[in-house]
Amino acid sequence: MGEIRKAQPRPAGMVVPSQSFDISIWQEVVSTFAKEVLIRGHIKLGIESLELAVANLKREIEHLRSPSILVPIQTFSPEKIEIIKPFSVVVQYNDNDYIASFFDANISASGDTQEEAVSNLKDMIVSLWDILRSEPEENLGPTPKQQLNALRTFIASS
Amino acid sequence: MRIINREGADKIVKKLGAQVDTKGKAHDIAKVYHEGKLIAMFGIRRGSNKEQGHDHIVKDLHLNPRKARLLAQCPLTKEQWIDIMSMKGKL
Repeated sequence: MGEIRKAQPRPAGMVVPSQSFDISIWQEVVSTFAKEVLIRGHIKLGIESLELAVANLKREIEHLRSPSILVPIQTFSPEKIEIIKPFSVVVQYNDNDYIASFFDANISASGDTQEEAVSNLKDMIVSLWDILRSEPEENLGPTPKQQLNALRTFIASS
Repeated sequence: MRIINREGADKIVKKLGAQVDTKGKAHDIAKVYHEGKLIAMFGIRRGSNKEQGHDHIVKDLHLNPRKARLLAQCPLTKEQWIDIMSMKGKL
């Protein structure tokens, strides 16, 4: 009669594979799944890249349809600023909004419409005019000094 | 393609340690100082829309669009921007 062994308790969570378990089948399943995920991921990325390219092309077309315009600035009313030398600003289309620029003073502003961009630029000019004059001149770096000198050519406080 | 939105502008303000002047009507004005001198200013449009366009900052900071985008994201540091400004004679 053979020895009777007492069954050893199994640790909790221990998985006992069945005698028919074939690991190579599972490896193939996992590998196929991983390849499928990779292929679908690449297709998705490719589609997303194409969508982005089409969106950019649409914007470029819109840009070409909306050329830059020159807008003369005639008043800063109700601000107490007078124009001593007439000047114009350039308004350019930029990706669903507009940028208005006063190149002589290197001041720019954005807006959702051309009108808003120009209005925002005027606001920037007024603000910078106040800030630059209130700052001691020895504290101004080259760009702010140039901006102040440029502004003094075109505007004055009234 | 938009380079800087409102969120990016706020990040640039923080990165450059800009002082913000709130007296303007439509903008807050960010003032960038270096060694005690004011070297650049740019406007932050008022409003809560994080997608608001701020591409005008590209010109205000004397950068090209690519570097302006890098400044708004992490790669370009304040020190690197100061180097660019120095090379351009803006300091």
